[in-house]
Amino acid sequence: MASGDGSTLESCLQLLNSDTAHPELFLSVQDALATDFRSLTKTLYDLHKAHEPADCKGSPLEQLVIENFDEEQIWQELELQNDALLTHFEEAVEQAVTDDTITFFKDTEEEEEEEEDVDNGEIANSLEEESAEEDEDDDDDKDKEEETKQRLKPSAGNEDDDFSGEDSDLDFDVDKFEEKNKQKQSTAKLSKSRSHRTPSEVDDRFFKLSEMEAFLDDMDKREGNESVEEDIDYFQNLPSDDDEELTFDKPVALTKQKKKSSRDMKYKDFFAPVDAKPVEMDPESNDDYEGEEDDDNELEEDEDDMNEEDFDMEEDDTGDGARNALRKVTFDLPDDDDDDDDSEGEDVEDILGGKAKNVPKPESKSSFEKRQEKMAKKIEELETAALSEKPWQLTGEVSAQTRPENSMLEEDIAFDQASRMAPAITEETTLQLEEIIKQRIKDQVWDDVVRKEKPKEEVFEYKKRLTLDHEKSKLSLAEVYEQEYIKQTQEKKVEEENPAHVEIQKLMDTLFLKLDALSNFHFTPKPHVPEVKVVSNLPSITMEEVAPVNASDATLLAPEEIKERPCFEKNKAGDVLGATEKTTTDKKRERRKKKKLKRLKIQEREKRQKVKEAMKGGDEKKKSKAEVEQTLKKLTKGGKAKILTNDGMDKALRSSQAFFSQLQDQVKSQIKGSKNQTAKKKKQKEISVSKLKL
Amino acid sequence: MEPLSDTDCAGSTDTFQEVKSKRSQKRKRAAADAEMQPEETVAAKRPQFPALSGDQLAGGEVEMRRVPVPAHRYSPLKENWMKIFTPIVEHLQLQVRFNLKTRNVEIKTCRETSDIGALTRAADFVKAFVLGFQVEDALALIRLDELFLETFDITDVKPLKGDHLSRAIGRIAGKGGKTKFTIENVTKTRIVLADTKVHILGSFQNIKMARTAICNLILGSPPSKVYGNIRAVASRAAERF
Repeated sequence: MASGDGSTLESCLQLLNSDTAHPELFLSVQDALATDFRSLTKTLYDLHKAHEPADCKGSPLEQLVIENFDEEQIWQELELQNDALLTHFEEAVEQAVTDDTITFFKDTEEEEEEEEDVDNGEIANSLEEESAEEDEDDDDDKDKEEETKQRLKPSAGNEDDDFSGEDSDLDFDVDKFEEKNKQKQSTAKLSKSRSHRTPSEVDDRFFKLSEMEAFLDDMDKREGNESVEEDIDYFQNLPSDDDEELTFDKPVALTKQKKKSSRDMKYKDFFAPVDAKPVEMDPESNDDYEGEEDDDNELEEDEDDMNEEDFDMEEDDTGDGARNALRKVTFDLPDDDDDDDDSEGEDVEDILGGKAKNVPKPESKSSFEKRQEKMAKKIEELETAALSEKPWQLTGEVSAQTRPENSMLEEDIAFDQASRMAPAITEETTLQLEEIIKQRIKDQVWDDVVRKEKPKEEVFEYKKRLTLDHEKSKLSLAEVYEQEYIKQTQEKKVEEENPAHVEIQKLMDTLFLKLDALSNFHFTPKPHVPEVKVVSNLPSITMEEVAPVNASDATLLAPEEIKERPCFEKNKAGDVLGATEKTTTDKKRERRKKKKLKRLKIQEREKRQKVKEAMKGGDEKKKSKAEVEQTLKKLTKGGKAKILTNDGMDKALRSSQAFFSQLQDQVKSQIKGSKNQTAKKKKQKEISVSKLKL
Repeated sequence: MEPLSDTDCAGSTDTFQEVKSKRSQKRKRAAADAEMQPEETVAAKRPQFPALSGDQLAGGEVEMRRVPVPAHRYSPLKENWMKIFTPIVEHLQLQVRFNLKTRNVEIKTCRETSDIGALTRAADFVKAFVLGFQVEDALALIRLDELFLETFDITDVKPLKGDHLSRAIGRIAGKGGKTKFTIENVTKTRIVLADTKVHILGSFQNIKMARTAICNLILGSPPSKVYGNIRAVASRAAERF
């Protein structure tokens, strides 16, 4: 029953009012109020359920159960109900939209219609109004949501296509409802009053929720009127929230901003200025664009858009500006500033003969003009650079004198080095090296240099190895091979024996090393013995072990050592003279010397002989043959005596008679011959005696 | 030579299957015993057969070789008959006889022959003796496996006729056989110089060395040069081994 319902609703409202009179209480948990709210929820639910029309079925729960249920479960119960009815409401809304009998031109009409549809709309709205006051600083969020949800449910029929069943945003709905309330209250409100929009939380510089909604309403109206027209005027100024032109049908717009046709829209109308120079923004004109954007999208995907925009709108204005700056497209020109040059270019200046166009416009120039200016400036720069001298970096080979001092330090140079760079010594490398060294020491692996010995093999030894036996071998072939085999097998034995020797040798070496260490510390060297070195006068090439670099005929002994110069002590400067070179004095000198030496020798010899004879005494020894010959020789030398030889005069010598008779004959013949010469005879006699051939 | 399987897989017959190496197939009586043991450990996959004796290897038949004896070797054969047939019969277990009518030395296998190659070796031995080698030198053929006999003609090396041929033979022989003995001693071979034929007995490398030396002599190098060459070659060969 309506009256009964109304009374219960009134009581609920009263209760609610009393409970929420002091919102500051909600800063802390209020259990008593929570139970009140719960009971309120239950009564409202039951009430609604009682009046549920038959065609739409909500949840199977007839009553909301709250005993011993926590919030989550109550919430789920409500959700059951709401979900079930959601589709029903959507259909209803669609019907309402397509229904021709219902028109949305006037807010008042809408409101009236809405009023008709609603059962508890007024009360619900009033309830909502109050709930709107309860902000999210409520700790009991869940309760709040429950209540709003519940209230939404009866007022769901209210909703336009703008918010078809969405209840994700509390404020949004609240806003709308508030708006509706205000509209209802002030029926005579017309266009201008729209300017006073209630600020919603999603509003910012660009977007005004209320304006968007208003625009949407207008558009729908227009669509309804103009659905006959087929072609679309592309150049028509699209309606915006602020556009008063739209409202020639119905004054709706509430513009305090200046209007701009779409053709006059500039970049700065839409985007935030560059960080360097903040350009004056028209926040409303920006809203304009945003609003249009919203309208386009919203018809299709409301919820998503709402969510996105909500998210966006939550940022600050500064954040918004930054975001817009990011959106902005910038050209990579050297000068992006909006500087207005006095001279756009020399050529242009010359051509135009003056600074005709150099008056900077009060407003910034068009983008094309700006671009042109920048280009011209760039061109000018490039030309001057091309004409002027190149910097030293670009002029071929540069020596230190041609470039400024220490200018190479500032340059980044890339060059190839053919040679390998020296290894950089870092701590790691030294550590590595030390590791290797330590390991080597531990392993006792030294890199000692092994003394190389040249294997001396003489030809003789080599020949010894393979004696050529020219005789038939005594061993048979089998034995030969047998011996060889044995030798091969026994080689291993021999090698095995040697290690014993080797070890002995090693032990001895260590022992001697130690002994040497003991004694060599007080080392006394042996006394120096003059070394007798026999030097044989062979060509020095055989004396030296290493093959000489160049063969030489030089001998080891000097010429003076080979042959003493004549009169070496006396005549040091004298040269050896050849036979023809000697003068008479030289010859005589030599002769004298020779004779002297000879005389000395003979004298010595005679002395020796005398000594010998004296020693021997009176023994008339038979002289040796050699001595006899020598005496004979001596005697016959000077021509004093002659050796009698058997020259046919043998007989005369044999006997004394024969000898004397011969002598007599000879004398007689001589006397005869030399009777005249008496003086000579005597001599001759003397001579002839000595000269007698016997 | 021991089969490799013996030394390689000592006790790990579980994981490895001992495979008899092919070298164990060599006809060595000594190795036959050693072979029996690893054979038993071989898995049942391989069928096991006992070793065949010599005559069974020939297929159960009796094989015979005949070596003709020229007239001038007849009396030396008679003189050395004891020394010839003793090793053949005792060590090689063959039957040997001298067929007076055909003047051939005939060698035959019998049941006792265990080695299949004994017959060939005996035949080679007799042949070597018949060619002119001493019995002791030819005996090496029986004892050592890798001795060979090579024959070539002097006129093969260089076509010589008349006096040149005689001189070549004289160069090879040397005074009192000196050169020939020298070559024999250095290269560990035995050389028989029979008119224009030269027979060399020895191992393969040594035969080659001796042959080179003799060829050089035939071609006309003086003996001293040949001595030098063979000495160098022989020393190098000796160093290598």
